[in-house]
Amino acid sequence: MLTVEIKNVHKQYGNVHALRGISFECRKNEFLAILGPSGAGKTSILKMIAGLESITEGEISVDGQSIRSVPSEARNVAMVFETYALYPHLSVFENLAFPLKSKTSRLSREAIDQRVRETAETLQIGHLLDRKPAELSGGQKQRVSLGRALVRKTGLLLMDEPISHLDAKLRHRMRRELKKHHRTLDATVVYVTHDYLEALALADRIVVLNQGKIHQIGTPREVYHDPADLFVASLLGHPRINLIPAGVKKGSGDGLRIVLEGGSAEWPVPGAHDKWTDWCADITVGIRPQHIRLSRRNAESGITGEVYVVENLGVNHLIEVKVGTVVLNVLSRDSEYTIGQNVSVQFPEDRVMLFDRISGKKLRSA
Amino acid sequence: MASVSLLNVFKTYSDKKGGREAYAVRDLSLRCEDGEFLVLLGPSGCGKTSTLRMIAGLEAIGSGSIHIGEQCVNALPPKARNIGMAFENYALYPPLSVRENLVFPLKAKGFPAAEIEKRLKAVVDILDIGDILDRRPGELSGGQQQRISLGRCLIRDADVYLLDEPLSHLDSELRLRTRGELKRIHHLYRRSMIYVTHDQIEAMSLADRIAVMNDGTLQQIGTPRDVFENPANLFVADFIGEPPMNFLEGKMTTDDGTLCFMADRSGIRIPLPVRWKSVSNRASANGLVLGIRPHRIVLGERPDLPRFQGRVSVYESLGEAGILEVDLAGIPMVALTEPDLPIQDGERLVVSLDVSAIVLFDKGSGQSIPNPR
Repeated sequence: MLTVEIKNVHKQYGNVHALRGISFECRKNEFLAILGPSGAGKTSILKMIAGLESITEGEISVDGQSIRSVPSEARNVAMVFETYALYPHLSVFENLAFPLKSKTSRLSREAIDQRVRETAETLQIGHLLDRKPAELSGGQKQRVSLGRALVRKTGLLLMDEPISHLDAKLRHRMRRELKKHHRTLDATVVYVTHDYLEALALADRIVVLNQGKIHQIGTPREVYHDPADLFVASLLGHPRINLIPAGVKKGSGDGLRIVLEGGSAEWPVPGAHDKWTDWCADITVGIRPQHIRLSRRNAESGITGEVYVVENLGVNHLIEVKVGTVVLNVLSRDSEYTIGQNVSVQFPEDRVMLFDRISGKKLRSA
Repeated sequence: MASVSLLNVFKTYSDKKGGREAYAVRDLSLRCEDGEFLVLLGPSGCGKTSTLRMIAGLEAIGSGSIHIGEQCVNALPPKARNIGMAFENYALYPPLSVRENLVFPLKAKGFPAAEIEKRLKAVVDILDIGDILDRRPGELSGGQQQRISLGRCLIRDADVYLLDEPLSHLDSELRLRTRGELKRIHHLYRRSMIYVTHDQIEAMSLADRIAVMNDGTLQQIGTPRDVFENPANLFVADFIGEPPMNFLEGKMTTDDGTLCFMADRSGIRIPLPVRWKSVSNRASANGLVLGIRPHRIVLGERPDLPRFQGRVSVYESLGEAGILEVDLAGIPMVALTEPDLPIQDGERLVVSLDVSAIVLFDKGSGQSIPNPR
């Protein structure tokens, strides 16, 4: 189990500045996810840690030692890629044993045999050892690919979108399997994905990356419930968080009020306004679809809207409600709404997030 | 606007390896009612696209008949069938701009300019393509091309619209939005639509009724609620719903006068509502499968529901919901829960099963046993 430290790393591909001074650390035995859309720079980070790409500027250390000083054969790192790259002419057993047969390996045949069988048992592919890759299902191939990285028992495991290409049902199942197996892994894991569900389910901490910059580093709970900015808030959650442009105006007396654009609703600024740091007049109100409350009767402090679309998602329903010029997504178990119906919309105060519309940063009360 | 009926339609294709003939579609009879949004749902290779292509006239039928409205269209070429099509192969005209591509079908039919403008505006608004009207198809992304193809299909007046996975190349946010718009269009204009997809959430959200297909045959046709709550067989029950339905093999027994389902592998006994008693006399009562959906497994004790001790295999907190895999005496069960629960791996906890919502299947045939309400 190793630690990884990334200090002020830049990466340039020709004129493209792919990573712009990123810093983070991955602790011993931690499962760290790097989450971001395609092109964010996540795979570049992984390849630099593995020594497959050069570092333009900055430092990467594994267990306190700069990787620049470690030759690639001596790196204690294993990588799992999106494409399995299993050897088609070798059996599952031989595929798993392959990494252990290199010149630098000092394992005897018996030791290799045992290691392969142990790893296969952990991944529940022990009964497939004699098969060839062509005879395996997608999920089984994925496990062999994972096994090939695990079998070396390196202290650091780098995973690059290992399940993204699987169909939804299999992907959800493999995600659960990965979470179960993580406990048995004696390794620090750095896991790259664009799928926020994988990050939330698997990671101890998540590094949210976009266009070469880190937006937030935090536990799954932190990045979901207390996103640092609009980008993080929008990235995690499906349907995406509702974002409503709003402004602040002087209310009666000394108070300030938040006014949704179009004047469709207003309510007092939470807390005393002089206690807010970074206050501004152009804000964005954010509220997640599952937190909006709908009712058919007019509540006193409610906003009124019109049902725009109703979609049955199985357990939940997605109800789109038009409020002024904005269409809100609402997730609800209640399905008895029809298009055109008038409804009352409520935003529970503890679920409302406020963001600075220009900088995107979340506004916090002191 | 018209209905579409298929009666005993067969379609074969030659299996190249063996030279044998295999069925793409087998004895398919179904009906899309006037103004209905019918979704053909199934895994790849199930025959849904072949079915759509036969309705369109792009593929010949083996045997059987297809009617659009009152008219049998078996022998009619696509352009004589008054249909709108949005297929995977977009077939946009490369030298024409997006605007010209969209209005092409109307110009070809001699629509007046004012009407063309009106329809163009409606389609542009719905699909949010106002900013790319002057581009050529070659300059568009896959998702944009797909939207243009959809727009060109919808701009015409047709008896029925046929759509083959028209949202597959859109990113998830755009897909959600466009899906909503499509549902609204259907609600406002009530055109007959037949829509092919492998995505069960898409089917559930859009359809008036869903026709679930597998292996060339119709498995079940019903409203989203029907196929979700009362699946006709194990295939439908497993295909629709994520996380998928939990299945336990076992048989019915009577325990001290209480009707129970006894699971094979672990011997756990699940008390059943009395109305299932009539099933226990059937021959199949010894080979049953009990199905229960993840959201029908509740954490903790409920006064009116049977409860079981289990050990946590894994808990995923996923923002909007949580997924808990719990081991009940050796049987893994998946439950849908709240997110952010303080659940530890290996922890012992109690779950309650909502047995009012179970489905029983005959293990041999896979068919569901009608709920004796």
